[in-house]
Amino acid sequence: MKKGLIRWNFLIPLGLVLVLILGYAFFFFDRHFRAELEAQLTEWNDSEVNIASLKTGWLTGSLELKGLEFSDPTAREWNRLEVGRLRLEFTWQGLLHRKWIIQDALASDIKVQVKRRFVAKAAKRERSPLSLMSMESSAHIQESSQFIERGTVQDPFQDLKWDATPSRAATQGLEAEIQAFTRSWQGRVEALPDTAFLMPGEAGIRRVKTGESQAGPDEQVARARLAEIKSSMEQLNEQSTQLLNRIQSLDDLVEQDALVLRQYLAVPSLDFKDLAMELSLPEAKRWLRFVESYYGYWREQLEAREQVQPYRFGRQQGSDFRFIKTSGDMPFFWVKNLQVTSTETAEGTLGTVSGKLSDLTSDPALVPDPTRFLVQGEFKQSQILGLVLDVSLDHRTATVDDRIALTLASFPVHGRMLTSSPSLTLGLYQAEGSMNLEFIRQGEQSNAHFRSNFERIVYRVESGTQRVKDVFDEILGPVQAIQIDADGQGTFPKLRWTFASNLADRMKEGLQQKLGQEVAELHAKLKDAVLVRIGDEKKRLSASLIEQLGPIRDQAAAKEAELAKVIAERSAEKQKGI
Amino acid sequence: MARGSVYTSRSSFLQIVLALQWGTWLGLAPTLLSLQSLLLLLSLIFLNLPWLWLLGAAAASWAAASVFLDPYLHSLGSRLLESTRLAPLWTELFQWPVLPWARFNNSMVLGAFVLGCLALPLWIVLAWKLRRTH
Repeated sequence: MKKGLIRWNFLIPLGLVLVLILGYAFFFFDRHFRAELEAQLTEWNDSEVNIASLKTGWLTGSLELKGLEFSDPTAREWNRLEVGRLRLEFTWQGLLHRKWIIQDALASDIKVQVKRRFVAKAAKRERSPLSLMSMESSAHIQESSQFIERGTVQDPFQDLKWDATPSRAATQGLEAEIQAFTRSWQGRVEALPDTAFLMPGEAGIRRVKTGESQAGPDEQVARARLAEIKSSMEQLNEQSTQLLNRIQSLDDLVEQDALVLRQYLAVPSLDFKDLAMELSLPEAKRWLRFVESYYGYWREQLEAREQVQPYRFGRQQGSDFRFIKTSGDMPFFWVKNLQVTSTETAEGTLGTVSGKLSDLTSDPALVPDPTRFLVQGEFKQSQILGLVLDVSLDHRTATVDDRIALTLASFPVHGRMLTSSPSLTLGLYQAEGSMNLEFIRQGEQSNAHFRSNFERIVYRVESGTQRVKDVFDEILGPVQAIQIDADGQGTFPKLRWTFASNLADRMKEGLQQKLGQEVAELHAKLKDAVLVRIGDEKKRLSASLIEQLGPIRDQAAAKEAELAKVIAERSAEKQKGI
Repeated sequence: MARGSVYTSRSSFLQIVLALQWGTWLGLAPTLLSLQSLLLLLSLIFLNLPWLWLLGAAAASWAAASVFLDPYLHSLGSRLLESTRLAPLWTELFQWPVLPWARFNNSMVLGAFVLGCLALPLWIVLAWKLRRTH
């Protein structure tokens, strides 16, 4: 039987499909949506975000999240923020236009710094390198503590590389020169005339050998040859003296050698020029991550939307284009109003928080006002007091004007590390902290200032070597309060940072005082060692030269003596003839 | 289906054309999470279309898109979306309710849909020849 185009008995398949759709919507959609939202938020937070439950209100166009946990990227066993309940109400007008417009939202039951049940996972996304987060700390403290530790147990000169010194190169050069010098003189002395050129002649008169000089009687020739030998010997003496002088001049390289060898001594640099950064960086990173990471991510997303994305190969890719009406258009995402409220309870860790987020959007040009987020809170249970976060993000025009201010009047500090190495663990066992962070970006220029204060400090100084502990205990003793400042300027996120800290100043002064004398003594010892070593080298080279010149001189002297003897004989013969 | 072979389908000319067209759109579409794809799938409840033609066209289109057509779909969609003459039309269309869920602002979604439309005459000719022969 031929079937028509229209399936008139569609009720059964339609019912089946509807049951499947509704079944998915009610039993699985929320679970899948929650997993996707967790993944997205984890990427933004740089560390795991968990959502206990998510409920979609299909008829009301709302979304309700419970137990929203933002783990701390710097301490993953802690939640930085927990939102007990977050309710978002979308507008139907927006949803019909595939726009996510949240008319009203409410975030309540806020907690901060809550211990997690399990350690959070890190986000998989690789962020673009941020100037502060990618900064590597110097190791002044580590070097100093290791220096003190080594001084008690090790020979400080055991790792010296003598082969790298200028005197070593000069010695090798002199050795080669001595070899060449003696070889050359060996040849020259061998070539010097001896009595062989005199042949026995008739009637006792010796004549000059054929091929030799015919200049006159053999005595004259012998005298000339003798003068030649004497002249050569003078040259030899002169040149060997020069060479010996050059061997002696190795002393001039003592300072240079000592300077080169200092780098192998593992002596800390006493200028401590990056000490402020070293001590401030962990604390500055902890708080400035808030700006560099969260704000940076938001800015990246915002700027990416302003450009057509390049094509990426693969199904479900392509580029999204935007067609915006100059007036009356809606942004793709817009939180018009989010109330933040929380009231402290006697038994829990809830804080008293109130605040408002308005006009958070993906298309600021379509929104009349800048994004504002002002929240104030206190968490007495966690001893976090005077929290004020004031954010204003204005991207409505080409000239960006963003301002972020975060203040914490008081917060507890437990076990905060300043530096940690095998030789020394230095940190704050306990303290009361306060901090203030300001970030302003106007156009391309960004300025950031961070200040952190610690009072009522109990230091944590641990070392396997008592002397290291004593030195740092003594240095830190007078520092009752710590102030850390970090200033950044430039184009976000590549800010140029400068750091200052009274702790760094005190540490610098103390370490310079403690280590200065020891370092100077060590440098003097090193210089002595270099002197001794160069002295040995000089002795060795001089002895070698003298030893090699001995046979050469002997050979020349023998020739000289032989010629002198011939001359004496000839003189005697002449006298007899007279 | 070779010419001259015995074609035993009882489907009409229109059913074959629609099956091929539906299959092409569904196969080329980079995602099924768009308004037109969901409507196409939903319409299968109401329409009697020959599954063989529908699935054959969808599989062939999907394979062609995956292997070599995707960059061309993107290119076609981009040209249409970047066209200054069409810009007012797109701007107006995207203000309509519901239509944005079609995701025609995505270069590949639009490219796939338009290429599917361009294939329609081919399917008409093919279906017409099949029906005339058998």
